[in-house]
Amino acid sequence: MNLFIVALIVIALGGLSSLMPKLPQRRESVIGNGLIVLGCIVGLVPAIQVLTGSPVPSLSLPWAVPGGEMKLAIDPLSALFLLLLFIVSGSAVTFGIPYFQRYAKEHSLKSVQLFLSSLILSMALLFTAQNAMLFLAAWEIMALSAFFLIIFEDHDEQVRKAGLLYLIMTHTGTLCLFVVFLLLGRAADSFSFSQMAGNAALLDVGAPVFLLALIAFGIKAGFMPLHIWLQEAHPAAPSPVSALMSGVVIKAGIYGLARVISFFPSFPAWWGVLLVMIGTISGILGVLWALAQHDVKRLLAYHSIENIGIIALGLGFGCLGLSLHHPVVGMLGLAGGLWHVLNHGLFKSLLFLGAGSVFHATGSRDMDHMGGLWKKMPGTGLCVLVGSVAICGLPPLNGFVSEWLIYNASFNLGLHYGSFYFLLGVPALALIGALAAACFTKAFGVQFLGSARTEAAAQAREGGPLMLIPMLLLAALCFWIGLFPGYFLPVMGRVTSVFSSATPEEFRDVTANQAGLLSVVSWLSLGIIGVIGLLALVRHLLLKNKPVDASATWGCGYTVVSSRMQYTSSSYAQFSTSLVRDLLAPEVHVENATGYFPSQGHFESHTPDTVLDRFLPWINAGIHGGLRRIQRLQQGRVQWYLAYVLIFLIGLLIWQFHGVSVAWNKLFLLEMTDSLRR
Amino acid sequence: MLTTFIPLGVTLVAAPLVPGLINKTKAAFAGRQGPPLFQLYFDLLKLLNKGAVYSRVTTWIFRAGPIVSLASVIVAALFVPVAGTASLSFSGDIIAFAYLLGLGRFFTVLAALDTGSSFEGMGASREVTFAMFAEPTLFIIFVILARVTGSLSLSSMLTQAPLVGTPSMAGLLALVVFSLFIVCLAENSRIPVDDPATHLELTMIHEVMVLDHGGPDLAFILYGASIKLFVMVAMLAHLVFPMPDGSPVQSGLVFGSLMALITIVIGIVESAMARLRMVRVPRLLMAACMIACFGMIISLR
Repeated sequence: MNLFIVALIVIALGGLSSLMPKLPQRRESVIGNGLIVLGCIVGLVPAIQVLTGSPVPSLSLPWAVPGGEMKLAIDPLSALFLLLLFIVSGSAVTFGIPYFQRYAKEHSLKSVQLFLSSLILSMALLFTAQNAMLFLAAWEIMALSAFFLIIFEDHDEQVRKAGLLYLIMTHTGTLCLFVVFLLLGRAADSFSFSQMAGNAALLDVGAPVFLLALIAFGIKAGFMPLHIWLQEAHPAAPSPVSALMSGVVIKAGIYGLARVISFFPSFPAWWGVLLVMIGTISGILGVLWALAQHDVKRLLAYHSIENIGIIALGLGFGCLGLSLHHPVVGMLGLAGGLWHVLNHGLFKSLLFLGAGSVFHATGSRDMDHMGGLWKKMPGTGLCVLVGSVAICGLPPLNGFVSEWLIYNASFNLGLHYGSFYFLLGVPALALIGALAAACFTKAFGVQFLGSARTEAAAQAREGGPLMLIPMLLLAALCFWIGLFPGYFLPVMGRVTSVFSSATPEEFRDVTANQAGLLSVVSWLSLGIIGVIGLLALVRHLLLKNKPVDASATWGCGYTVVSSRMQYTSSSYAQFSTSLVRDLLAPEVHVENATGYFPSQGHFESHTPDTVLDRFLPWINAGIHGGLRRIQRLQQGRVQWYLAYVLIFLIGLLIWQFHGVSVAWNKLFLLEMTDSLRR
Repeated sequence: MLTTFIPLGVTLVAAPLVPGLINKTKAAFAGRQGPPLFQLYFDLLKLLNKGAVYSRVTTWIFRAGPIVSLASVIVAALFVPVAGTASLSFSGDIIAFAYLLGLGRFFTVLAALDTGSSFEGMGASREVTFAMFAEPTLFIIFVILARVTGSLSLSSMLTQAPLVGTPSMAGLLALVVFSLFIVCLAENSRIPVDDPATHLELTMIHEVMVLDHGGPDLAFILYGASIKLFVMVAMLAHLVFPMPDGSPVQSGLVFGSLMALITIVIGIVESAMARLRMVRVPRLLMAACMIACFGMIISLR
């Protein structure tokens, strides 16, 4: 625990160093960010300790808040999220050192540094807090720090709007969270998590707590249809911040949900069913909207919603397994879902950093302005390729492993229980997988392959080693987990043992059984790489003494091929999105080229968020219309207002008289009955 | 140890026969003599001995595409039984099988986009769109087979499913075989989804994606495609008729004749039908998906 406290202090120092007035900006940014990165590295140690099976003592400090207690503890569930937090923050902050320099002229970077450090600190507190008051305090600091980071480019109106939307949504969530913890605290008679865990008294408030927690944490995590802030805030924030937001902040929602579920010693099956349904909806709709985007960060934001859906599917299967007392399904679902939290945190922050690197080089987030970037930025290209393969859940990378567990949970559930809902998980996951592959072949292919579509893309350059190293590190971690999942399964076994409703002995058997299967998966992944290497060698030998020429791409006889003829992100996705036209409802403006020698044509498409841009305005219009009718009361004439006062007073009198008469009657009747009885 | 790899070896050696047999069938229907049965072997040999021409636009993704797709198909072929036994089988290998095919598709599509040609982009766009239907259908079929046999490995699913002797099973299997057949046609770009015989029409999918590949790269692609076709036909072969328990020779003969039969059926379909209009293809695939869904509902009882 000491190391953890040291890490927190170092991170705090890193943030506070930005308040020192004298340092020149360049050096200050290196010192401050360096301290934050150092703190993250130190903080990894206790997290890894706990995950490898050696517990760390908890820490209690006096804290003069009613019901509050400054108690920090690292259990395996906390440690998993801390691991993710420190890896992603360390990478994102390192990446940010060169990245933010482009803003240095017109912007002070002090705020970024301060709020980055407070964001990391508050999340570290959140993941270790053992008391509801402390949890809420950390939750609020996290939400506000993230807000100030999102509105970094506050001269842009879009950014301000996105920030405001985020602020409203996160506080709506906090409101629900207050109720959740009040209910839990009253039932357990304490705000301490150790008192809540496994407490049978919680069963009375189970349903309202679960539903409210689902809303509160669902807003943060981005469950459909509560996701509306996500696709606005992620593109608005600077890339390292979006990496942190998508990699860790939205996972805080998953952490909270898992934590609250872990308190309950048992729960009904509908919790799991509800989570599975939310997961299916978020997963499929998230990836469909992603497919229709051409802003790369918006696309990635929608993919976060999709992956949160996959995580919810895993947790849902886990909960179903727990409530049906089927340890295989329970263990596989929970382990798969929580493992996907780690995996998604790694590859999504990698992809956001990649998007940042491309933005740094080209100044654009629109994929249709890029192309051929692989030749200019091979390092970024390689990292984004690794991230893209991983996010599609393809072997031999880490996404495959966690999805494999969730698939297995789903198949096992289907084998043993003949309910249609249970079976839907498998085709849903398959559909999500196919759509994700479509989406990331598009995102990677349009940006990095082919030829450059604009001058900026043709002039792109890598941003330097400080931007590349964090991405390479994250990519290496994705490979490592994908190739050697056997190391991580015992870790996941420990994480799932946190759940009060789980039976550790049974889980241990399942873990042992699955370890064998995962070692086969590991060999399989190594096998694929081996076969690829072998075939590459064969190809090399075959081509050794043969003529290998370079030429133009075959244009079917047409010789004036230009880069504008390439498939763009919109045209690539057009066929698949046209099949779900009614759902996505893209706004299309076409100006057809006419005549035999057409001079110009024009096509523009934009896919708004159906919930935010269509459904909510519709609801709002309804409320507005209703209120307009009441508006007639507001006349602006004093006579009328006096009349209202009079009417109100008379009403009050009648009501009061009525009340008095009732009371009098009661009293009278009581006396009557009393006297009768006498 | 070596005997474990016999099924994979048979797959790798015999795979180019399947397209040859389809072409023979089509030739017979058209009243032609047609290319020899072993034509694909000759083509592959010739291509392997050629040099290569690469577009200046391309990067090493273009060169990696054929290698990764062939490698992933070969590894996926490990799980598919030949005459009742597979080289490798473990609980959950169905997921690995489907995702390996997905990996191959991912890199084929990237290689196509790497050329910067609108033809290849078009093919890539269509390929991923049809996968949207084919993959869930394949997984629904796996769910049905898992429920029927209680197993999660491809080889035991396929070998045990026709042995379940209940009357409703026959109907269920018919649904499974029908939708798997359509998935097989779509995944292997056969008529009525795609036409493997031409590649310069604007309507093509797979052939147009590999337009710029040549030499050993094209050989890898053609070989990989034939393995994929062999593997899916083998899956169908196990479902339509149970493999006998007897000697390897006996089951090998049964398997071989079933493979030939299904291949000829594909050839007949290709001779008798025209390719569907592009906008109709999703409907066909959706129908296959719905049929599989019916099967899933039946399997719930």
